[in-house]
Amino acid sequence: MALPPDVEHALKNYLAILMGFTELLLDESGPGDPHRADFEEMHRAAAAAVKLLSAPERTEP
Amino acid sequence: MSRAQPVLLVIDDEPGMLALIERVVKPTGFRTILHGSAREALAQLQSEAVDVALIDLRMPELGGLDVLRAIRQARPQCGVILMTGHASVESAIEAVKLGALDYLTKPLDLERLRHLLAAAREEADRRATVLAADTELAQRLGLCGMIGRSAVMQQLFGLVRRIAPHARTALVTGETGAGKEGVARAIHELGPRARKRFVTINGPAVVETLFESELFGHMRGAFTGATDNKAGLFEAADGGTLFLDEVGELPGTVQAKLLRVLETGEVHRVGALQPRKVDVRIVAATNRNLHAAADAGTFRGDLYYRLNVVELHVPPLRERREDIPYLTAAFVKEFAAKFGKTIEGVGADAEHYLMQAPWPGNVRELRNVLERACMMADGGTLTARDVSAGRPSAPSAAEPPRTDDLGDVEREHIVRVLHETHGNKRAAASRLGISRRTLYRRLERHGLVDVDG
Repeated sequence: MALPPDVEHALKNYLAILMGFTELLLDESGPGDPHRADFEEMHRAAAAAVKLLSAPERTEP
Repeated sequence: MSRAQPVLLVIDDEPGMLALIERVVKPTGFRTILHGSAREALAQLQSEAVDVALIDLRMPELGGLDVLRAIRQARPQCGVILMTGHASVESAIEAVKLGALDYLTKPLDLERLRHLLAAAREEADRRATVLAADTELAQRLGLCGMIGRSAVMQQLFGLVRRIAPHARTALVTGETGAGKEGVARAIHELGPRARKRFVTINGPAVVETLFESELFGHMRGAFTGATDNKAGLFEAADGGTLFLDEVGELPGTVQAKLLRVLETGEVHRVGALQPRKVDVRIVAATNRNLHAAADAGTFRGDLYYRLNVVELHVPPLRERREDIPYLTAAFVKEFAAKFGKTIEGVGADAEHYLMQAPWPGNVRELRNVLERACMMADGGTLTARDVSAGRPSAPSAAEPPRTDDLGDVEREHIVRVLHETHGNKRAAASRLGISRRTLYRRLERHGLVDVDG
């Protein structure tokens, strides 16, 4: 299920945007913020997706 | 230091990424210019004073490395940070070679980006401060037009301020080009004689036989050619300051007479019977070790001790390199105005070059180099190439021996021109205004047959 390089690149870009904004939300939410756990879930999921894309077996043809 | 907001240019073909970066950057104080197209961004580079650029490496129409190259060309002082989804060692090395500040992988480490921008901002501020404040700040820290923020110069300025109101004689020592005359002028201007004249006499520039008459004046008929009574420089400087440059080169007979004037406060015009009272402050300067010369008997010891009541040592430029950016800013400003060009200053590479150079000719050499660079430059920012072209090659750490022998001057000049033409004798001859055959004869005469670039 190798993705075409262009698609992979774009996908990673979108995930990076997702992660970045989530980090900003995390920065802005205080320790007692009720949404904080949700933001953390979003960040974790995006990071996991990036990791999947960057896994060594993915870059090998 | 108030100055315009620093400017960050962001180029990424993904609008979401632009929005993210804008949000991250806002608290760091940068004004952001966002571009989805590298071409549009480069077109704007000329009109916007961009301090830092953040560029996506992989974009459809024009790659990040090409943009980096274009920015290094157009705005060398602009720091560039590249971003990429795929970190490849080759492109990272290439980017650093091309002068990129850093190389970030996506997803971006926001903390690292903030740190980088803060550092880049500090650097941009420092550069802007140096450029904008050279007059205000450096003059406040300077003394009568001399610039010196370094501890050694601040010490010297302090000493000048303290002795200027009192000292009747002072000896200024330091290498050629270090700024001895500036110190002498400062002593004059800060002293009670500021409104009176400051008269300069340069030892080696005066023919020995005329020295006495130059310094002390002469009466009509005192010697052949003395058709009138004439006051000497001592009388011209009466009430003011006489600056004796290169005092170590004074002939022995003049040394003796100078000592007498210092002791008695009277001058004898050549051929006059009656002495005249003069009230002159003497500031002598030398690039030689007069103490050693006095020990060796080539300079009168009693005159040395008379002059040496206060000794002010001007340090060579290589011992106060931290002043180089300030001196550079002041000289660039001076020469940009003189040549009617808009030159913003020097780029990072040029500054690095100037900081490293050995400067055997000291501040005067730096000034000459920048004058030449400003003369040749088209405007914008001076590059390392602009400034290194103004420095003669084969720099030597030692002070160049001063020569007044015409043959030596010719030899040095030929060598310099040959270096500049990279050993091309036809080009050198044409620049020297002589035929190639004549050049070869000169080379042979000076023993330079094998000189090339």
